[in-house]
Amino acid sequence: MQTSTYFKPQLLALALSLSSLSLSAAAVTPTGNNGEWEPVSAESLIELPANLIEKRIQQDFNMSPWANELLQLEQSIAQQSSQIKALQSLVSEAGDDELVDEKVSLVQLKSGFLDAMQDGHELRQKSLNKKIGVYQNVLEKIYSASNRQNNQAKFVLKQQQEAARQRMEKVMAQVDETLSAQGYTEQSPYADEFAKNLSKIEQLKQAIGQHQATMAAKIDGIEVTTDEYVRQLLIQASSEQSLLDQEGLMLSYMSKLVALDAQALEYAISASADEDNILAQPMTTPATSVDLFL
Amino acid sequence: MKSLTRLTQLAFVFCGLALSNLASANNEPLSLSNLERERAALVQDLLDPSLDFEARLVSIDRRQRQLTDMERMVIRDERLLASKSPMVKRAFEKYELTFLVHAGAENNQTATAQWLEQVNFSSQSILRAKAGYR
Repeated sequence: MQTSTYFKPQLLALALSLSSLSLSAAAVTPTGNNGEWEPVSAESLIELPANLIEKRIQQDFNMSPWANELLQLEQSIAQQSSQIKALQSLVSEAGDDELVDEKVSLVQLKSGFLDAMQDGHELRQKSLNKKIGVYQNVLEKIYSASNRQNNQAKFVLKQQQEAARQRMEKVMAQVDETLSAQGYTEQSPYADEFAKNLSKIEQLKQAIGQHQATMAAKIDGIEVTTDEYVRQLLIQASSEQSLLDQEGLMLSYMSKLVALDAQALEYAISASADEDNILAQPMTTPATSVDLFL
Repeated sequence: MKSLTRLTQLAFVFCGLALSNLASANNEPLSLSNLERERAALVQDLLDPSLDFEARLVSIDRRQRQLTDMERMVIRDERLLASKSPMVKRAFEKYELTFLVHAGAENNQTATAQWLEQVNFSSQSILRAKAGYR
């Protein structure tokens, strides 16, 4: 009887904590209106070198309230994890009827741990979805800018000028030879200055090209275009998403196990209470009392 | 740290200035206008009846040298990309007629021969021509 009354508040607490363990519910840690992560706009990202896009988004996330929240959750998870381990080692050797109090605490701790894990999982999922959205926007903007550029008269003119430059460069030496054959052995001031400046410009361009801040994006050591790099980031995000889905499934199985533990514990506590119940004892009947009169 | 940020901003401002100078400083295609004038002068020298053979040759050689530089300037001139003048569009569409020295070199001929070919003048058509009033 004593045991039964003693465990009543604990059972209530257990039931309450388990009811909060709903993996399908969208109850994310409240971030509030100001606590949301608003990633940097695709317009500003498109201006950056491709290899900095991912870093910029990550940097942006690291400074967001979500990152702070994830950090706090991680700390709480680590703390709860060590508590669970300590309790587990304590109750592992105990029999069914022993250390029931600690067993209830363990189930409660596991439930709290899973709540925190679930919150972290949902935050990571939400941030990944936002990241994917930004990558898709960047890619769309790259494509539309490229289409717009291809249709512009300026683009056509640029191509024509480039083609003209290539044609000219093929015969430049020949033209210079013809001129020198005509007696123009010295280069014109323009050609002279141009050649001098050109070598300096090439050196400067080389220095810019080799500069760390303007390094072209690379995948597996091969230089790629911006849109290819962003496509790769999207593929990477998609694989992260599938891993997160797997983690979600693991969390749901873990919560199922905690629920089963709680159920078993509840049965054990009820059984123990039944043993102590005076009404459950065999009643005195006339047949068992006959001895008293003989 | 603050000074680094300022330096970065400064670098971008300089880049921006350089680009905007290219884009907007002069929408007038100056290099191309110069080329067109020089090309017209070459054709004028070629057709000028007052010049004798020697003088024509010297003058055309000098013009061709000028044209060589002018053509290279035009082909390298990125300011032209910002120009909306139909003259620029036409110039690059008709490479053979605009860049007489370099297009001629492709066919191993002089700039004047290139021009004559482009406007469909041949020795025979010149010999067939008759002087008279229109």
